[in-house]
Amino acid sequence: MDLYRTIDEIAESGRAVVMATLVSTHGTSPKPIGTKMFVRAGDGKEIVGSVTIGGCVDARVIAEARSMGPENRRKSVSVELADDEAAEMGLICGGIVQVLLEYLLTGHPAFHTYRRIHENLQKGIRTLRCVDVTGDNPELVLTPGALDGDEQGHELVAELKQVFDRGSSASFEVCGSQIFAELHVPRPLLVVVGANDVGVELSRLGVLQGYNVVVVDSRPTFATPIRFPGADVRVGIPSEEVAMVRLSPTTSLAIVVHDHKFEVPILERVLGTDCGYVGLLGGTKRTAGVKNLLLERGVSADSIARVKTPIGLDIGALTSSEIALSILAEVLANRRGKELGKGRAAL
Amino acid sequence: MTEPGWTLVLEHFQHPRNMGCMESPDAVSEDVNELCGDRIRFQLSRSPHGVGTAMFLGDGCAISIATASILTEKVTGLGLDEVARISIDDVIEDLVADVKSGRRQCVGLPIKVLQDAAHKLVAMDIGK
Repeated sequence: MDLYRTIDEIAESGRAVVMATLVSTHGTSPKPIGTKMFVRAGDGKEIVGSVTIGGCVDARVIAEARSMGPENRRKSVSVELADDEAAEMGLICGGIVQVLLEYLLTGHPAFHTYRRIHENLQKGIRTLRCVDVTGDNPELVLTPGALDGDEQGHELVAELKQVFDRGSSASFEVCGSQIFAELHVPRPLLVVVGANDVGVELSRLGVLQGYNVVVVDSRPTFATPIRFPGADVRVGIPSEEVAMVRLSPTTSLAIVVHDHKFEVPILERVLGTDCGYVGLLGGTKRTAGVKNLLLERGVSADSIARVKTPIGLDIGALTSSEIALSILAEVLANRRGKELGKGRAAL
Repeated sequence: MTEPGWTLVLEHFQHPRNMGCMESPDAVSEDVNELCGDRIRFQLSRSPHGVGTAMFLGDGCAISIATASILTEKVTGLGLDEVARISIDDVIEDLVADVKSGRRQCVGLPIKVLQDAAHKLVAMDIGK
């Protein structure tokens, strides 16, 4: 679900909708807090998203949503992720979830809030939406800079700073109120060098998974918006185009162009940055040759060791789409800070 | 590829001359070999006699990079009509390399880009 587009569509439609947000869990639950579901108010017959995985909790949330109206704009419900029969068979997640339900109608401040958040994200600014779950306090929109200069050490500010530091939404109690701090972060960036079949599949999967995808190639015949829908296609001198991308620890760069004349100058530039993930497509012998060329150009062995090759998780990928899947899975694992599988060789 | 005759190609490939960005070029041209992806950009400054200085940027094979590099030295101070007459065979001779027929376009691309840029300098003169 594209959250911001969904909310924009709701705002434009003028329909009343209940936004259900998972704000806390005790024990395990299938989805992270911040997960949302939208339910058409009144009959609840139009639903987008889910706060768990579409089971009894979602059914309860939908039922609650149906009962809301303009006079009852915000409420919190707690639901146990179990029923007796499922418990008997051991088929339970075992947690308790708390869901915040907000009745949205034209003019609701949330529409403006999410528009503002979306604008911030497009500028690369992380943003918090803070909601008083159990009270009537108005919602707040905050960026990291807004929390600077808190000389009095307010408890709320300290909690919000921790949310930014941890990088995930959170619920907490302050001064008798339960606050849900919903953290929004810019889409992760995936740079794909090489407008070949693997590049096409990787770009497609990346867009589907919510990445901002940049595709780089020197050839206008191959690097086209038609072949790469949803991606930012950049045709030019590849090493120069990559150098113009703002690489950061949250950026993933997959070099699938399979030609050292592009790989070496790009790696030479990129390995001096803090780009989060750098992967190189190629067999062992060829990538060893790339390594030697990089060493000859003065790139350190430590820097070269950052390059993931063979690129992608070892899932037995054979086709271009399977290779793309393995690469994106490795990118995700890297982002989540997981250990990669055995048999991974440094370049 | 390290055989007699490739020494100069490798030298220019590993240590290209005049590779970079000119601050205020008088003419810029860029082109690509659609099949292999070599992409070269030339930037030229004007002098009263023709080409002042030449710089290039690009990603490409050793031959195309070496060609671009050697051309930047060859055309500095050259008249525009002389630049227009540079041929693939001229540059292959300068490179002292045995360039097979299938690789002639690797030499041809930088020459074409350079001559396009020089043509823009001519057009500037005509426009004055």
